[in-house]
Amino acid sequence: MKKVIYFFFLGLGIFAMSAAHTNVAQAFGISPPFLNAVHLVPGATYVQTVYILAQDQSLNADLPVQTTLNIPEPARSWISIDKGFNFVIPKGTQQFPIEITVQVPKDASLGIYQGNLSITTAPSATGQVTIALGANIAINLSVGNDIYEKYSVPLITFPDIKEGEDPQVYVKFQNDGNVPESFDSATYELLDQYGGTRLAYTQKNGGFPVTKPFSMNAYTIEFPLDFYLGIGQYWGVVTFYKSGQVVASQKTIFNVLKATFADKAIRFVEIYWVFFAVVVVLLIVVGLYFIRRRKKLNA
Amino acid sequence: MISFIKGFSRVNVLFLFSAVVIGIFVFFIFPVFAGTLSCVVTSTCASSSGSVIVLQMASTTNSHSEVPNGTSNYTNLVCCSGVPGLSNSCSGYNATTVLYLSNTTNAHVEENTTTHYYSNQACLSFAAPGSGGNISVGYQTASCTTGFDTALISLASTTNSHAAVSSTYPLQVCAKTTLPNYYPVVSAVSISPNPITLTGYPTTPVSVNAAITDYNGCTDITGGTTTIMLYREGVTSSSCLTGSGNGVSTNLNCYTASAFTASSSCVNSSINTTTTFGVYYFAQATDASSSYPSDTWNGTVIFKGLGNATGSADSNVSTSLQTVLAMTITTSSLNYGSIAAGYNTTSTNQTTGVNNAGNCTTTIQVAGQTLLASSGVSLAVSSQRWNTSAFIFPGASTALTASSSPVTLVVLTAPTSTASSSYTQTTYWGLQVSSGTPMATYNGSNVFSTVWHS
Repeated sequence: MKKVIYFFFLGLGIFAMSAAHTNVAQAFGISPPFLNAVHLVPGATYVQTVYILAQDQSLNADLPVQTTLNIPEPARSWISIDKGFNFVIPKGTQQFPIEITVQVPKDASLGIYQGNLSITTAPSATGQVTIALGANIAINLSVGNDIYEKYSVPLITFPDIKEGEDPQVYVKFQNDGNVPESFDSATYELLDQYGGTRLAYTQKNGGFPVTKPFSMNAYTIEFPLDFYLGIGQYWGVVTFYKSGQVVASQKTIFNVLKATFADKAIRFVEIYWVFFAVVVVLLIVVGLYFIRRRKKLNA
Repeated sequence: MISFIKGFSRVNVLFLFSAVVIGIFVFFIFPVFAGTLSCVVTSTCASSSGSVIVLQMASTTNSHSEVPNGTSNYTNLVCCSGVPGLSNSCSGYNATTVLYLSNTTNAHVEENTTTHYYSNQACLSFAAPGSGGNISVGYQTASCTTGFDTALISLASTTNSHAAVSSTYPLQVCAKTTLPNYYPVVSAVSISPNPITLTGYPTTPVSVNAAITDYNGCTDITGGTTTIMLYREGVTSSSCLTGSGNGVSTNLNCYTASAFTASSSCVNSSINTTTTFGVYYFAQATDASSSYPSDTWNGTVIFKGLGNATGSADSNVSTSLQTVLAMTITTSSLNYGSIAAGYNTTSTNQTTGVNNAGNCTTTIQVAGQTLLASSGVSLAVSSQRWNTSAFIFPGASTALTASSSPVTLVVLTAPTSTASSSYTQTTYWGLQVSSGTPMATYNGSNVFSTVWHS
């Protein structure tokens, strides 16, 4: 009897939850619903991805979309969409990204520019009065001449490497400011598989990739060590600095895997490429010498 | 060989075959982690396989000694292995002094007693912290098989002694280990995607990734229990875990799970994991224009190994959850039926419901087009009227406006659950057909737009 009551209420709960969503004929939205580029400078390029979210239970065809830019000149001509202002969301697509680019001319006047981008879908149903859905992206642009610094590191991972290679760190650097940014320095500590004994330590004081304003950059940094990493497991601790402050750090475990013959050969060439280049040049020079000599002898 | 097999009955062969298969299965599937300490004197000691040098000796007998990390060229290494996490650090977990040395190199040795004369140490310990466990060292004339796991070396006397391989001198240096219950280590907790954009309705998959290490072995990981949380920073992990305090609300700002999916095989007591949550469309945004601009979304992974030791870690990179502006609508068309010229829909309203399907307050605007017949004649946009409650035409209804000048139909607050009644508005529609309007079928389109309510 208890089981019957349990399943009755369970069924009732599932029905109640599903009922909340069963009456949806169409769903439409955008994320994020704003384009706030408030630290632009003349000559800046700002790119933002906006996802259009469309769901229509009766939709079995492509969905035409019309956008209308409601912002006065001159800002109106700065704004473009990678898909154009009229485009089609393919049938069955529920998330459709569009890239909105704001290209500020170098001679742009400083000021605040506001408006919106209206997005409207074509009605998908038939009937006397069909219902179309739309959404507005609020646009707030501010062009000034100040320096604005804002950055973050949304991801740090330690890829597995092959024996004999130097440890690597994969980084995503998000620059939300209006000037190029990069790390100033970084430290890397290599620990044994139990994280208790330091095996090596190094500091890198330059050579970090620069991330352009208003963009994200993903790259891998190698930390050369005076320590041969054999097959096994190690802990790495990396800390990135900018202006003397810790920007990001990560401590985790990574694997050193067995290198194949091809890996070793590539590694060897990478290390001794100068030697190989010199040998090749010498061979060419010697070859040319003998060709010329033979020509002289023949003459 | 054939005659040997022939000598077995079929049952015996089957039994032998089964035993071999089971043996192989047990060997490969159930690796033995609580190994037995084993020490030998050798010329190389492979640290990659977990071996550690406890002492260095100049010779295999009548020898001077050196501390394990000494820099001389002694080639006889007392190398111990067989126990996960074994270390020669004198400050490690359960650290025990095996011998004292008169100097760091070229030294005499003595037993570890309370009144020792030398100060340089050769030690055994565990490299990672845990609970329990033990390392015991003893000096006895009997073989180390009595009461201990292994012999390290032998001594000529209790102090001021030369060293030799075991069984050479009368005093055997013996050791025994009991493996501790290592504390699991959780690291590299991250959330993907980052930033989080809620592109699905009603849910979007968001993953919490982590690396889990347990030096007791992979069986401790696969047999352990876990709690994975995804939550808005201001809620805190403790409130998300207990479900109370700091405005915690399941699905709005806190998600929990009790199982992860392995995203790598377990190698050397470490595994990469991922846990995917279905995050609802109304989960609280933390971007710069949201109600929580100084918050991020965090992931926390708590892991309890088979031996009940616990480790945990939080994500240490900020993850923003983007504002999503969305709506759902319950009908895709309005059908007024047949209306004679000069008449209207009176009390017969057409209805459609509009629902806030995002995570922010939204203004719903409405506008429309003229209704056209195939002959080109039309009904004015204002022929249609709407209201937020049922009406008798025209009653308190509002005339529809053209697309160029949409009007606000309703402001829907940000939802906090799937119980959508408070975030839904039913709209009621009516139509007036002016006198003299030609008889025809008229069609058109009304536009419902969602606008961010800052």
